[in-house]
Amino acid sequence: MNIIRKTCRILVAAGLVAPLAACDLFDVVNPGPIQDDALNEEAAGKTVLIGVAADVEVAVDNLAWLGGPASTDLDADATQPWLQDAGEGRLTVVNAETSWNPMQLARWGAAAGIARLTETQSDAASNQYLTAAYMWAGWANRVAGDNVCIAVFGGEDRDGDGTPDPGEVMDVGAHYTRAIERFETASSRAGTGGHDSIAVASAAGMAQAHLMLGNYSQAQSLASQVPDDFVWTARRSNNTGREINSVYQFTHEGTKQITVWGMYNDSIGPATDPRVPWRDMNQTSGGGVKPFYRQLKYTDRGDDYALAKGHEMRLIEAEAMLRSGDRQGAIDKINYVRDRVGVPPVSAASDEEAWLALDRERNFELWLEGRRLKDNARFAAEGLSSWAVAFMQGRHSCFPPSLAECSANPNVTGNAYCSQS
Amino acid sequence: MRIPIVATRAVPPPWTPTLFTFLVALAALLPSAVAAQTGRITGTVFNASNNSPIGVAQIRVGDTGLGGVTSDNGRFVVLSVPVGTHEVFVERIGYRTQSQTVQVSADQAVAVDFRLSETALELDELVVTGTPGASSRRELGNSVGSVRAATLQFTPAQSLTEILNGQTTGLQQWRNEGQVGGGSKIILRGVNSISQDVQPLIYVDGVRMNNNQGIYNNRSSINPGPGGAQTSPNPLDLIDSNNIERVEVVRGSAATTLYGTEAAGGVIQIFTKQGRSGQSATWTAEMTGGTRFMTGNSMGPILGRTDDWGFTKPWYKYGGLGEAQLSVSGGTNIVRYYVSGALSYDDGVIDNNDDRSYSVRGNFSVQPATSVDISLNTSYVHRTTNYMEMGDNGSGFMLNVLRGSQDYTNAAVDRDNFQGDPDQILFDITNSGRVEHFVGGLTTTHRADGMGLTTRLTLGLDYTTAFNQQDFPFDHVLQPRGLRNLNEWEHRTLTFDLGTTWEHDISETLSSTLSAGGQLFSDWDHTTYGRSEDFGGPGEKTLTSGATTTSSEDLLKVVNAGFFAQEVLGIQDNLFLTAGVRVDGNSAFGQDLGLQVYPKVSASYILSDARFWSMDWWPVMKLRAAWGQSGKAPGAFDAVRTWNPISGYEGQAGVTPANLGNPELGPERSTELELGFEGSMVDDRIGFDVSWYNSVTSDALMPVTAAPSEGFLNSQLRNVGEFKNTGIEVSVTAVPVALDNLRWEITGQVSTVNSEVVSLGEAPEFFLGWGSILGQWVRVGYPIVSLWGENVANPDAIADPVIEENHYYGPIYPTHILSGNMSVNLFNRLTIYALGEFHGGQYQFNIMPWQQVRRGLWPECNDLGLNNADDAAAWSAAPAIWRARCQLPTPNFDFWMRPSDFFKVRTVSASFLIPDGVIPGATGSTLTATVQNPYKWSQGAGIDPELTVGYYGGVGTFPARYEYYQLPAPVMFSVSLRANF
Repeated sequence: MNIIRKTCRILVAAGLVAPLAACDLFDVVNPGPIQDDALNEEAAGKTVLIGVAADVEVAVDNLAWLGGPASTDLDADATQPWLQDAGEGRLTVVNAETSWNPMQLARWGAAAGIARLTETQSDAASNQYLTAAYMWAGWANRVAGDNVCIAVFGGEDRDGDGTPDPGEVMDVGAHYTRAIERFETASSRAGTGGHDSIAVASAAGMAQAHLMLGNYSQAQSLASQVPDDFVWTARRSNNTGREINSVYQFTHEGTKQITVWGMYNDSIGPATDPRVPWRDMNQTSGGGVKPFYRQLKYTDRGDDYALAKGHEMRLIEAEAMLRSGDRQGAIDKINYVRDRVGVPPVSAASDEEAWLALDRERNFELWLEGRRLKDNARFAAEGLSSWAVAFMQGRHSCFPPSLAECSANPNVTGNAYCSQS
Repeated sequence: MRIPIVATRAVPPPWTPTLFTFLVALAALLPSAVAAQTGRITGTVFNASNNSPIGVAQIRVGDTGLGGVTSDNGRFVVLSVPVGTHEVFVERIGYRTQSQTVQVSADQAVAVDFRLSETALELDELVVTGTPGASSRRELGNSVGSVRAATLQFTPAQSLTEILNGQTTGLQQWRNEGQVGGGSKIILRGVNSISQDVQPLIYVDGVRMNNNQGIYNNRSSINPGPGGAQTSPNPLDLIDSNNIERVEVVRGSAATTLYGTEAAGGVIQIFTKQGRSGQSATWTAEMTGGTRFMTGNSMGPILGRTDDWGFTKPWYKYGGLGEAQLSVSGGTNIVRYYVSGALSYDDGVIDNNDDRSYSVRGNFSVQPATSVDISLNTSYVHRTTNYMEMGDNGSGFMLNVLRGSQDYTNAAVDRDNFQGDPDQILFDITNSGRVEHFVGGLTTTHRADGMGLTTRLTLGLDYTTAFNQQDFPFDHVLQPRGLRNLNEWEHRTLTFDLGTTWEHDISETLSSTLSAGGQLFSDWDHTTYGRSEDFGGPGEKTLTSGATTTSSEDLLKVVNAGFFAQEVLGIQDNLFLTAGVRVDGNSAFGQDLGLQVYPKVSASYILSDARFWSMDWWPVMKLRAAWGQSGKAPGAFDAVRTWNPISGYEGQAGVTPANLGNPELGPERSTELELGFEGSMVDDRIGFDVSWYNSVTSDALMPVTAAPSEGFLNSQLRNVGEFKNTGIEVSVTAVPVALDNLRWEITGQVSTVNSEVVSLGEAPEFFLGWGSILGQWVRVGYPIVSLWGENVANPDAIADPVIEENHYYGPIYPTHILSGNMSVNLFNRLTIYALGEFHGGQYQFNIMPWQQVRRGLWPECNDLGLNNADDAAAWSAAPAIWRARCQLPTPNFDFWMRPSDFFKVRTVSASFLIPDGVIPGATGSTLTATVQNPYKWSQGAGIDPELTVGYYGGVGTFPARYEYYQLPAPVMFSVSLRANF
């Protein structure tokens, strides 16, 4: 009898807790991060769109400050070696973590957003969030096309087994092709929905993509649809750390590891061209080696980056003219832009001078917008600009896949760009 | 002076309060004629090693049936001893029994003191193993390290983590900051997880305490922003070491099975002081004063030999420290108490760094019936620390000062107008942390002695609030807008622990101890962050002072619950077989994962009790073997696919991919086999404890890198890895000299850890920390973590470097740790104690020297003339390794990977036992002078190879480590006076 009582006491001791394990004890739902299913509500449509746009805008922000030292925009005087590498033209799988990854997040996020909004919005055929998502998907692809070495579209179910597949390696032009497709969809939906600004922005985005694909007449035609004063931006704000303009932050706050000193623009100066304002701060930069020239294009954390603007469209028209042999027409377009910003006209006695003028003009107009890496590369590759040819000596022309992509995607592992160092 | 008066039998009867009161009254009324035929025996019992008083020692007067126990100050009085000659015995577990003959005269007191020697091995010593009843070492199939109170005497004014250094095998500790209030990370038996924190579980008097130190982290919480102090106190340091009775360190999964899913990193059990039955109030007061200061030796082998220690010397100062502690303990057979309070201040060796704390503890026990004991143990600590910005941080003190004029402060100030040293602006930045910590536990124990049943219920609460803030004043050149950055964290751990142990004899030769029970632990964390910028003007600020403010909030709850059963079968009291199982559930497990089962078996055999054992010089020898499993749960959100809420343009709500999730996610499972033996020999003057272990962590949670093109940038945790840690732990204690006036004790310990990544499953090899440039890789077939990079194959040749690609340097954690301490007791008054520790086998990435080379500021290069790129003669005369390391303008990082063995003298102290009467009313008083960190030798080039970047010893939760502009630990000198009343 005693043994039974004792045994029962032991079992009770254990049994008091054991039943708890069978109850809902472990069903703990922590607030904070949003669980995937919660986004399938129709009411979450705007949240999904804001996320899509924000991821593209963050990618642009990263490319503006990291792409600065990687291109002719800025120089680096950094203690962080991956940033110093970028300044010296070494675009590796390590500094690609800061460029490739946000671009892929933006591209995949836009595609996933389109898929989710198509499923969840009852008025999907005309839904404004979905229209905007298509446009942002276009921007995501145009931005990637301008900066990466290869295109990889992961997370798509290509074999139809219901699970996403790793992306395969494609020519970078695929990004522009996809950008055009997304912009076209956005443009046609905007036309029916009355979203004129989205239609104009999409035309501008398509003009940029066609230019990079070498479809100059199409680029010229689309560019002509964009007014001189039109600007579509990647928006920045003072609201949170994720939203601020990092070029401003890295040059006005903190450790100042990027400087205008030593770059093409340091011989221009604000007195010469208001589009490239900077000032000698009489200090050394963060790395302690180079003088610190502070950029003054962005003077607030909330300053936006232009994704497309009318002046760039005029320069696209100028390039199309130049490529078609209309040198004077091109110079006129350049001077049209220069006149609008209040700087003296230029002239070109030869095609070489005209290309140089166009290269410089695009450099001023697109300065610190994460655009010049591609320009430097293509102007050098085609031998169009002597200055670009000289600058690109020994430098990489695009960001390779990141170390994570090279490690985790079996289709990318072993790609030559994964060894870019 | 009040001393305990116990005139009773050696084993006191279960008196009721009424009976006790009656007897006391009766004794007072007894006629003097009775007293005239008896006398008194008084005295003090000391530890022979260090002169510290020994409490709770049993006093027995021959066969008279009289006796008692000593109070905490070691004093005793036995009344009514019949006149005549008696032999007085003193017994205490852990010490050798001693006796002396005394002559008792009528109506007189005879004084006799005892000095007990600690036994090299005490098989009947009780240790806590996770069951309701404590187990004797005799039964244990595994090794348990312990730190006794006597050790604490030599280390006044030190934190618990500092005290643990070198005290037990298998323990390594990494400091991340030498500032006052700096933290450290403890690792037991090597790193066995690369995705989860390896910090051991902490229990205080049976109540689980938060062991997540990341949250105390004084570091900028909202990016972007300056980095703060980049350090945090270890939760162990929130426990006032003055109140600790002993610490048990439970290493390895074979020993921690009953602690379950979260115990793979080991367990540290802390037991605080308690009041004693039959002891009148004993007061103990302790006052400590001292100073901290930096020396050239502190600054490392390279910078320390320069005149100004790399520009830092003018900034250092002597920092004062002081501590006052008062405690009282006592009790009757019904009620026992221990109450203490302490105040301390501690100033660092640079301005802006200081620490203030106060703490109180109240431990109370009541025994309402002979079979029931109820104890309430509570403590509260309030600690405020001010820090300098430090570490991998553009606003950091060391980073800017060591770089001379080529730093961020010089870059920031207007050099045409700024007067003085630009580094002065760093002192305008303030960082502070405030921690309030309460831990309380109510434990009810019921013993049905006749039935052999012990049932224990513990309800506990560990509650902490931590508040960190960082302020850049208005118009500070490094943050022109001004900045206020803060976080407030609230943590609660609830403990519910119920268990029963049934001890009974099955037959004359067979005994059984059956235990079962269950525990529930609930952790709740609430963190809020705030940031404010764009101040309108100077003055004190709050978050609302800035034109731009941001905030965020995290709320987290994790529940772990399970139950266990264990049977210990004793055969002839010398062979013990143990089998047990633990079953656990955890709210962080994936939805598809059920309860987890962790088994264990062990055996212990007292070889010296066998009939054939006839070696009198080797009286104790025990063989043991243990096999068991324990786990490590994933984080709260690891199993779930989530999206992070973000703020889009102008604060509009959006989402971005966060965690890919894994519904099959489960705990890591560590399986360990431990074999060992322990014993004592040569008249108990040599004791030894030897263990070999092999621990395999399967289902290791690996951060499997996700392809960014598939949308989720964060890696996905999967149970795919396998690691192995193998090692030997040897501890030897010897008493080479034991004379009346001279006693010399030495202890030596060796711990080896050989780790290996056995498999990464489907995860690719990956690097930890600051990009692959740090060279810290997790690679199959190599240690966790291994250092890789380019190497100079012809280091000593006077030639250009021959570069070897992808060279394996070695592990980043030590493969062997040697520690030793010794104490010499002279004339039973003065004790000299010293403790040293050596870490060997590890390599370290010296990034700080790399940065200094770029600026022409590293002495090793400058001495060779290699700070001038145009000095062709110097370069042509330099060995290849130095041409590589000093290459200008920027050398390759990899050439600064170097071996970083080190030896440190942790503590040297002298303790003097003050004769009674010198301090009126005090007995057993001691005066102790201590020097901490007086000397170090290191093989590496940095400041201190023991330092490691990361707010709790790693980068994020990963166990990467490297030194980067942290402040080294300064020398501390203190004098402490301890008196018992």
